[in-house]
Amino acid sequence: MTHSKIVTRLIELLENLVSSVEDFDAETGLVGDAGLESIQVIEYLCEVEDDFDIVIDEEALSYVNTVGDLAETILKITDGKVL
Amino acid sequence: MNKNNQIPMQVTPLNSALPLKNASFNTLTEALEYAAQGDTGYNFYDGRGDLSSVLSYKELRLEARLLAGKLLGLGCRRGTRVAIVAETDPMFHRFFFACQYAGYIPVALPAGFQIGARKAYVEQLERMLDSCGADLAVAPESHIGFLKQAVERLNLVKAGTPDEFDSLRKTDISMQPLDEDDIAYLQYTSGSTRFPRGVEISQNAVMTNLRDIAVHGLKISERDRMVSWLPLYHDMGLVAFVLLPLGSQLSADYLSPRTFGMRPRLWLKLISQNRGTISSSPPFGYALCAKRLRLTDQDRYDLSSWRVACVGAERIHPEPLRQFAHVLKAANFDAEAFVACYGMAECALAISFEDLDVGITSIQVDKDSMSREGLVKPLNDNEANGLNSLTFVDCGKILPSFEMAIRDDSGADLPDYQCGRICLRGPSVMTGYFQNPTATDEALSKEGWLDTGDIGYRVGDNVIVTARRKDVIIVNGRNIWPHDLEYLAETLPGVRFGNVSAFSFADDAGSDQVVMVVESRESNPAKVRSLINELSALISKNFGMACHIDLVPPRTLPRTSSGKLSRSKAKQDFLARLEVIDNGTQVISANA
Repeated sequence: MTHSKIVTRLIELLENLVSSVEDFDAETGLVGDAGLESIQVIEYLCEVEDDFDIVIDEEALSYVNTVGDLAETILKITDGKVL
Repeated sequence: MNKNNQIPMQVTPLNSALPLKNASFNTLTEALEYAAQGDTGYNFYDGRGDLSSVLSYKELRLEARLLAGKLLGLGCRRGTRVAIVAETDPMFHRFFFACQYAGYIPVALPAGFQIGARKAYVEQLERMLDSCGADLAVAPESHIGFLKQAVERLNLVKAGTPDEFDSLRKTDISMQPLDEDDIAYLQYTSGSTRFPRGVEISQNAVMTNLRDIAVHGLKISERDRMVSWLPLYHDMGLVAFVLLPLGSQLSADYLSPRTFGMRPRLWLKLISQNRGTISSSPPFGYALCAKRLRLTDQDRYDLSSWRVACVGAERIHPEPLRQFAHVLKAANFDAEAFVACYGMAECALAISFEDLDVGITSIQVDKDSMSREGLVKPLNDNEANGLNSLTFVDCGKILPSFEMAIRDDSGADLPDYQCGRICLRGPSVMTGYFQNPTATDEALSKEGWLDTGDIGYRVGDNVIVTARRKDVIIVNGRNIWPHDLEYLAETLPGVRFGNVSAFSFADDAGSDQVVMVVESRESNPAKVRSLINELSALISKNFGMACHIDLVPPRTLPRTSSGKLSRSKAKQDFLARLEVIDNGTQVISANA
């Protein structure tokens, strides 16, 4: 899966949590722009981990700000393998 | 150990071997020495709810003593502070008790995280390490990167992973465990992250509290088993679910807070499967769980064993609890298992418990007389109509080792049914805030009375809390100090120091809304908008919550005669402005 495909999927998963994802892209900040509260972030991560069947550790998450960053992290964990 | 064994891991059983002793010990090491004669202990479950490690009290005793010998080889003085990043992992228990044996003081540091908030978290760790003067610090692999960064500017003797400490050479220096008059641990309050305060809890204070809780609060028997997802760096997680099971030789089963946040239903699964009898949460935990439950889930759980479901740590609204009980009725959850309780780190943990087996007791009182004179006039169901009444929850009888007084601002004792500051005295009260005489003197009188800062009233020995800590903002179980929010705003260009006031209020649905009133000279609408956006984003990023920003002209915020901002008046003014515009909630949600 490519970075941009992961971004698309990550935005789809956000749809359950926010009212509109219309303007969202790789640059969208998960907390600042998407407006997720901390408990929603955890809920979102749960969906992301289940969806990609991975576990993301705290260290990696601490560098994640945007949807694009999260896609980058997922790409690293899955080592670019087709999901 | 467990990991390398060929035999499948076994959870520790109920206590069948040892005569129950409910915390009748002088120190935590005495309690461990006794519990280690039985088969009980701690069980850790991973993010999928599978058993990942087991640490019996027997193993804990051996490992903690071994580790204590190694720590002593580092040549630190007795009373040295050892900071432990408190992930829900057996390493926390090992290091905590190694300190008890070595005569060092453990300090649990938060292992919580927020997405993208690396800098804020590292700075928080650094401030805590600095304020407790830690010489040693340990973090599990998952958090070592944060810890190493946090100690860069500090001068610690050693900071590392558990493996790095385990590989130290063993010494024959004789161990002198912490004594009953020694400090048992420092507990950071969930107060300001900028000015962290470590509560000093002596061995005697924590043992007295454990006894009170076990014998009078929860009436613990050898048939009990505890289940928890609470963070170990909070007083409820540490005292109620690490020290209490140990003091009463019970087994305890853990999920990490992150696992709970992601999959709250695993909590119910664990209670069902291990026949847990005691498990607690702040109200938001029950609400989160109820929200994620599906009706079809009910058959999957059997919660009939769950006899005590404590509710505490924040203001209790009965409604989410009713919801939780309703959804899980078919899974045999008994609403009478709810036990309202009141406590704080400054009293080790618990102050009062409602009677067991009665459930939540709501009290409706006359709103008018309450807000005008602080006088409580109970209303019956026919008299109360929601508009003329306020609802509070009875937090039950204070534990026998405490004395309680309700006082007015001049310090005079108030009678029953009169609201005032809740003050407490007794052996479980802290010795003070660590190396912080100013904060200690503000909270503790010479006669040993702790002014909790909470507001409430008494009916005999029962306490009803009507407002927790003046000014504190609670969002999803997290305490946020208005100072910290205001400080953040003041870092932005265009916002001047002291021209910001943050507070929260309960909207019509009973949810807390956070508001920040900011004075600004800016009148250009585009710039106003951009300042508001910038500030909202900054708050989201640092605190993970929405905040309504109210930009007002200079000199709008009310000040006291000495020039200090009055937060309560600022809130009153804001609510008045809100009523003029609309009736509140709509305006907030549109801007938040």
